[in-house]
Amino acid sequence: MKKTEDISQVLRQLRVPASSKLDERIRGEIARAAPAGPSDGEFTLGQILLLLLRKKSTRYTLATTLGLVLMAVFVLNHSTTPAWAMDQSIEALKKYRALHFTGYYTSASRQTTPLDAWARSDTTGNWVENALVTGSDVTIWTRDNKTYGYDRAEKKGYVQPGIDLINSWLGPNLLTEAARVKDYKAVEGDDPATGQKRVIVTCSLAGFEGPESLLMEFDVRTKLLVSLKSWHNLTREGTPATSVEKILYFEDLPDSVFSHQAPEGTQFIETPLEIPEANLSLLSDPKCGIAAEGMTREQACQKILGELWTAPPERVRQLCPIVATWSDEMIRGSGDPNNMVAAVLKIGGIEQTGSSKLGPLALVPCTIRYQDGSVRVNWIVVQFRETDQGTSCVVGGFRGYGLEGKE
Amino acid sequence: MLEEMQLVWRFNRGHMDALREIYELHKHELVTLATALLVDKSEAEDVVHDVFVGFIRSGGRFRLTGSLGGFLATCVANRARNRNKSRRRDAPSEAAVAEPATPNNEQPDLAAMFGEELKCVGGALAILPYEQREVVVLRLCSGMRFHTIAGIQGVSTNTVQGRYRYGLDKLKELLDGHINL
Repeated sequence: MKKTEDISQVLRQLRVPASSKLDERIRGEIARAAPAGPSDGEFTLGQILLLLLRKKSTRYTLATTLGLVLMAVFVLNHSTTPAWAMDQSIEALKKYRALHFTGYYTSASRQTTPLDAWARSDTTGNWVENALVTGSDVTIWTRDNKTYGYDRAEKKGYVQPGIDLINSWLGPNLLTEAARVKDYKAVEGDDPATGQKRVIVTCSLAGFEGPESLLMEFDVRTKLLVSLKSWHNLTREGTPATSVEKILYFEDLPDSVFSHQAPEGTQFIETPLEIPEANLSLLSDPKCGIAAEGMTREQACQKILGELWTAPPERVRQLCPIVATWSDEMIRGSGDPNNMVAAVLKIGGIEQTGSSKLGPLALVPCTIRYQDGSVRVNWIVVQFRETDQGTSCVVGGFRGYGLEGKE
Repeated sequence: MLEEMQLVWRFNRGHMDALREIYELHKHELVTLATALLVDKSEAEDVVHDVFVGFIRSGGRFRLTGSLGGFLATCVANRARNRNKSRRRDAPSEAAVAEPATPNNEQPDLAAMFGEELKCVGGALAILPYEQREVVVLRLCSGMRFHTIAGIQGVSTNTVQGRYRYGLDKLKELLDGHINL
């Protein structure tokens, strides 16, 4: 019989070292919370985090603007569903693969700031291959299937895997369709300033980045999009979040247009993993997602994402409540072989963690082969929820893609 | 204690090296605590991760009233208890009637977690009722006082002492002959 004191001694000796994986995760969290330079002692960490969040909003706004314009240009380019004169616009756009636009965006501090962007699509016309977006204090660019950001005010660099500049999931065509399901209107009129006929298109959509409403202006003669305004609400209320005032179209652009070099010695930290507040109520629905009890987060991610890509539409809506309003056709890929899943090649491990008000977040890459033979990596956000009913998880959003060519 | 106060002061002013130091100082004891409570290292590391994420968010307004190690250990214990509750709620009903594991079961995970020599300790801990396990682990692995544990569990100090005694007796019984002391 062992003595109680001896067992106590054994338990006191118990030691389970932290794994290097945990070290990496925690160091990543610390790095993401880090202020730009050495602290001068005047800022509290809370203030610094708020500052970072504000800056992140700036990056988000810039990226969203680019996404909206590209959606309206390249995406329509390959849309096959005719609508008003959209089919004519689609035809007119086919010869262009690249564009430049200028305009303004409203920052989180409600200041109106100029923006300038270059973008080029891939050969399919469905995906952004290169982009360079510049605002007053932030520049965002893509390289080697990664999205970089440099904040000139804070002298700080951000990086995240995948190209994350367009708000789409299984393909931008889906968003074109999404724009049609809600209050889509097209009205023709005259522009007295230019004497040209214009078509004004309004629509709204609830996407992965939260609610968005749009006002797009097409030139009737050239059929091209000439301006765009967007709001972070469904009703176009208040000052537009972005206003794109001039768009130039190019058949192609050289790589050099998209090259950008951050100042020497810039340290790039991971862009924080977050979910738009506006989507949290949808993601909190206890009827959605899967139970994650008894599973590690890694296992839970494998399970939900393993099912997601091949599930029937009604099940996809349960696993990913953000697409609850999408039609079956949209979820299946709108009949576009570039968007329709042929095979799930790999569900990777958790690459980044974060948290929302609902609980922890995990970022997982999924490599998918589509029916046209193309292969893309899609970075998917899984939202974990810890409630009285136990731990569960839902697919919380899409956070960029990597173009892998064809198999 | 003075060193901890200085670390917290720096942490509240945005010095990330202080946060790194705090993590390095406490990581092994927190992972040990969470693993002993949950008997699952992967879940334990998730718990420690979440505790640190919460701690990072408290920057600028964190007030240290006791020891920092004690504060973090309490956070780990609370999160581990919530996880355990969720686990139990969703455990299949057959688990309730399944044969209990014995400490000499060959469970490779236990050896990986606690080492070959102490794997049966992990096995025995897993068999203890959670409340008893929590008291024993908080007392012996984290050196917490009974009245502090009573505060965490929301019961009287006498109840905690009772759980401690029953827990140790049960461990002694389970480990008899399975460990060289």
